[in-house]
Amino acid sequence: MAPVMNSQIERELADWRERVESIAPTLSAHSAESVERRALAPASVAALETIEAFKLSGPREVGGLDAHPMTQLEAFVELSRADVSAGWCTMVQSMVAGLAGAHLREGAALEAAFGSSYPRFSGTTNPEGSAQPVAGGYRLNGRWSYASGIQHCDWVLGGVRLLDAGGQARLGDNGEPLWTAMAIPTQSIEIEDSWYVTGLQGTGSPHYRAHDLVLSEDHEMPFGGSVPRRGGAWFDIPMTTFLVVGVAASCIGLAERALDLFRAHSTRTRFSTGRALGQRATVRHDFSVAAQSVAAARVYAGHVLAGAWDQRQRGLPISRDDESRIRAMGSWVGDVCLDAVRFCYRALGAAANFSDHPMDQLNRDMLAASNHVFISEINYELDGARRLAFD
Amino acid sequence: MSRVSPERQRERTEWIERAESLGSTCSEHAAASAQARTLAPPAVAALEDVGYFAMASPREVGGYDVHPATQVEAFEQLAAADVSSGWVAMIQAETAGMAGSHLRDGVGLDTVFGGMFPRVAGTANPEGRATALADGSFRLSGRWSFASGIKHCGWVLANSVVFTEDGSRPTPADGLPPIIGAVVEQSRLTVEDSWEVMGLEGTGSCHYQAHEVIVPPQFTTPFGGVHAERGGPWHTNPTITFLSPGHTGIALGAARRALDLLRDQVGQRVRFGQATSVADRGAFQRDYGEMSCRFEAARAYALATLDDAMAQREIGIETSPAQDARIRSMVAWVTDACVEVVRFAHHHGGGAAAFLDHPLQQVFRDMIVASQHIYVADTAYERTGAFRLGRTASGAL
Repeated sequence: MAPVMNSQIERELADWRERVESIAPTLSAHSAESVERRALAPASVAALETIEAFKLSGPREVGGLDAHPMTQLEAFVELSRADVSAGWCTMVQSMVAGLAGAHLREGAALEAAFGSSYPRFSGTTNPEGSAQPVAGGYRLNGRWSYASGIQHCDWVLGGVRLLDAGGQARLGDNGEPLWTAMAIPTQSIEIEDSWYVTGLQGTGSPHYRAHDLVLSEDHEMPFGGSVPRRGGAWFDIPMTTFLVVGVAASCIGLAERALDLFRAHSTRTRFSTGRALGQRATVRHDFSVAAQSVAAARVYAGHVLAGAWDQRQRGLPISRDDESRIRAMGSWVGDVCLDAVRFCYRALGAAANFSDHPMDQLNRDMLAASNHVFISEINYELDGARRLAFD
Repeated sequence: MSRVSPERQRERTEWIERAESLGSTCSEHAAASAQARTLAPPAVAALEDVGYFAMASPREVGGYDVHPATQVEAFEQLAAADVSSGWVAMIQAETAGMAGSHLRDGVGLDTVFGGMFPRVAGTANPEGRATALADGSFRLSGRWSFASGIKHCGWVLANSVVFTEDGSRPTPADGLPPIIGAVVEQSRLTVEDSWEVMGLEGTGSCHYQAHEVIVPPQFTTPFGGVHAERGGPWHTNPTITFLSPGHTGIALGAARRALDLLRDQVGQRVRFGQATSVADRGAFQRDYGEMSCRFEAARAYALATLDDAMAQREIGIETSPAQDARIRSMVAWVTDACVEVVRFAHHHGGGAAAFLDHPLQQVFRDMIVASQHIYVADTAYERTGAFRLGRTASGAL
């Protein structure tokens, strides 16, 4: 049975539909500009900030909105539908700020990041750097990838392996290297001009580096199994569960946009058939399959996330079974959306090849998005193993 | 996603319990049903005892008028035990629902629904010929197909094209409906022993014939499901939408059974030449994960679509051809997803699954045959695709 909606969540959803609708024209109007400059257009960043989109996934104690995952999903979907780059940057920023707001310990770093205004936070949790204890805190070195929106962010997250004072990797009780993440002021790192990509160009997701950067201990965010310091029940879940919402939503919004666009172009007549696309029975058939697949994916994502949220409200943990199921949902949603966009692109024919055709950009964006590790097909294997009780 | 009232929660719990209570009876007699090519009497009796045949009928005629999403879950649960039992339950529940909501008050309704809740078989295709007679009766002749469960039914709904006595189609001036549904005693029809099929053998979906059977007008309904005489909001739908929960639940039940069989039985098998069991293989685990997602998405999509449709009916919003097409294509999409799941399961059953007594074999054949039903044909996609692309769709299906 579908998870239960209540009037508070319905109001929140309706409110966010209105908020997104109010800025959708601005986001769409600056879509090409973002692609051109390989970073989100300033007008789009400003519009997103106006509706407080970056606060969606943050704990209330630090100024976040702690929105229901259904609201987050739907807001990210509709933002991506208006402009894929804007939707992508929003989900990354919102969720990374949420992680930082929930896990940073009390101290100067938390105060600096969240004390005056809500921060623009980018970064990645992949442990691509290292942190060595030194007098006054940690010495940071590393080169991280995929910091969407970093050009307009004040803070960035960096996953790190923990070293001992001698520079050797510290190991946990299980013999595995220990890792954590650091909140880093963007002004203290080097941002590379490395974001030369096929798709999602407008997200501006380049590499960034730290060289012997010393940060006080309170910049460290212990997580990956640790209990969050603030936030509602939704923050006390595995990191992957918390983050999968955004990538799944981006794919759905992207696919919805491709379907919208295909509908608008369905009067086109391809050479050799003499009939408009929308008049051809096979196109009608395949369009219906694609549209329904995306609709089902959207319902499914909401269903799974709302179910997990209900579980947390009842005080139940997100088990490893639940986690792998939620991750596999993300992969399935991504695959379905990839197929739908492929159909829209292919059925429009060679006209969609040109870089000034909006379907070309969506096809590129979808191909790039589908490579994200959170929706990798590895998730199916993990989920299948657990469903078969093999793990 | 919608709000679920406590009343609906109770209804759902009750129907899942009913389904569970008869699941073992249906699965125990599944082989006997397939062998006899009609549902085994203990399975019929069990379905009747728990009220399955009355599930989709108006309360005014003794039905339960169960919410469409709950119908999906109830049929799913039953089909997971035995697809043929689920199928017969669905056909009888829905056919009785159509008759119970559309027969006018009077002797016809009183005769059919006056005693024990009736067992009604039938088919939606108007394959018969109803000649309108001067006294208002119809003379029915024809041969109809796919009357699931007809052998144990007392009544049959036979849809027929109306003709005048001179052999022409009626004009508006004649005041006759173009097509009628005639509710006829099974004993007045000839049931053929024609159900020789690959799957769903246990449903006994035989042909039947009428030879100049006289049907009084009180035993006829207008065709297509519009203007219900009684019932709840779901009965205001045209037939095409009214029928959507059944096929949805059957497909989901078959797919769920296939996934369960893979996990509990097939997966443990070590195939010749392999060092590990099927379920130990990474490739299998990957596909099992993906197929489970596909199944769960299909299920969530089906329930959400019917929840939304029912919510609209409850506040008095009428359906439209575009919405009806969308709901029917949802059922086709869910069925296609389930066919993929069952095919995947059958594939991994390997050579052992080729044998008729293998549990996957039956569910595989049932799913393949169920997916041929006109209700879930891929014309559903074409039709809703036309509406979605801003065109109009031609034809009824």
